[in-house]
Amino acid sequence: MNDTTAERLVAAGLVGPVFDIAAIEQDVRGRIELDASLNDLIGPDDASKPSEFNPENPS
Amino acid sequence: MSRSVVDFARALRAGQTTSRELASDFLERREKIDQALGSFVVVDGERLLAEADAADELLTKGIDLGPLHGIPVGIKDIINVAGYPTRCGSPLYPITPVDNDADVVANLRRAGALVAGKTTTHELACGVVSTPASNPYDLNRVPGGSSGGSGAAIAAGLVPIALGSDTGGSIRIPAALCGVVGHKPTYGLVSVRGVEPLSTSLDHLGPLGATAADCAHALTALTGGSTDYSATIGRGVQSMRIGVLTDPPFAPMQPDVAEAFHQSVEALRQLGAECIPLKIDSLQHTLAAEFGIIPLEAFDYHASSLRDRPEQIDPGIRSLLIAGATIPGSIYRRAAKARVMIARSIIEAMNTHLLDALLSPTLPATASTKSDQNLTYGDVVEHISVSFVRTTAPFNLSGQPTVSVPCGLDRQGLPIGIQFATRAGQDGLALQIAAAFATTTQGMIPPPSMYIR
Repeated sequence: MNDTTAERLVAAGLVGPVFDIAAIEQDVRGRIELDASLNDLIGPDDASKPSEFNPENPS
Repeated sequence: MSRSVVDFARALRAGQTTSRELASDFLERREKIDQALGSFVVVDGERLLAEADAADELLTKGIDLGPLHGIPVGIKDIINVAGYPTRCGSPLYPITPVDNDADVVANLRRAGALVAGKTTTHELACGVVSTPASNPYDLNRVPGGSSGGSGAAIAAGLVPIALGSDTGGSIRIPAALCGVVGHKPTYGLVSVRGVEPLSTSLDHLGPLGATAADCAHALTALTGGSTDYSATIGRGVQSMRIGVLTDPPFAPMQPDVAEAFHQSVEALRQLGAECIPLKIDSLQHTLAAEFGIIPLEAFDYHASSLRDRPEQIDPGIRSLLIAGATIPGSIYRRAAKARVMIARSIIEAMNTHLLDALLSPTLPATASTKSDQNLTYGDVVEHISVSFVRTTAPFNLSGQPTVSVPCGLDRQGLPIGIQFATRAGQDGLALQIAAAFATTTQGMIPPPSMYIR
């Protein structure tokens, strides 16, 4: 589950020159940083770790 | 006669005009100004005139379908209209016409409205620029987005009503920047069947209009006509309690916006409302929640396009879609959790302070130029897509009905908007308050360079 960004792209079928891995990794880092700001509201939870989301008990 | 639904409807019934005249007038105005304005992407003039003649014939026979009868309206080009293509501002979509009307278009037709054409949208309804549309107050500036064509068309007097969608502010942003009224209804109130989605849990469909009353009539039609949302227009705001939000994410604001906002609060007090300063701490997490939800939901819908034709998607939007495929799923889960907490904290604040509504600036800034990437607030530099979403998105997360209404112009003559949010299901109240406030201003302030009386 701890896939790299490159592995996630391949898994989603997103391959080709348009998909600039370095730029995408930078974008993902920015989004993880923004997500981390939610710690003040909902508490810490490492966003880089796999989700344990249970749709039958979302909270 | 102003160019509102209410005035058009009155003139039609008084025999002072006909639907054909309104349709012809629209076509002539569009011919004159829309090459520069870019508010409509496609118009079928022959069909419009034929529908106008049919509407006139019905009225002649005494068959009156209501306030929208015989009035041309604009439809954002993410919404299906039978016989027109749905292009979503994107080369991904075919030029072939679709077969069926979206539910909202069918409802507008049942209420007698005429489809004037499809209005410009920012690509995939995802952005605040809406190229090639321009702002009628200054053609070098953006009309906002993503429903930019709808806002520009109303401000220029082309149509009194146009439909928009609002995932992070896309009805209210162009409404504020173009000096018109925009209503984001309660989440789920208006059907989205036949509409291209961006982020399904945040997407709202609703009207932009010349006045709050126009939006109320449009909402009545959009929801099938069983509730008359115009019924309370004119009742005022006497003794209402309104919470006033000025802390982040509503700050920082441009000085002229802040001044106009404070004058608006005073105007509401003069009308008899009690305005109570309010701070809701959770709202500063708005963007983290909003931007944690959209990528995954947008990718879910556009995955095959991203896979098969990525080069046909704008790089910025492509990044957002790619993020939906590559960010950890826990970001979505955490954003969804934050969203619930934000929505709950808004309602708790309203309950604690016995509030009827919330008031905030719609946007912290007026329309940027087409070349601007950032806006500045003193020492703070902010990307325009952040500036134009941080103040509107709280109410996408909460799903509350929210109305943006013009409150004045800045020193450059550009419109400023304020927004009223009420509790879920109280759309009529939000429109009532907006209409009452509009009595203290000039209402819609026509753009001098574009508007043709």
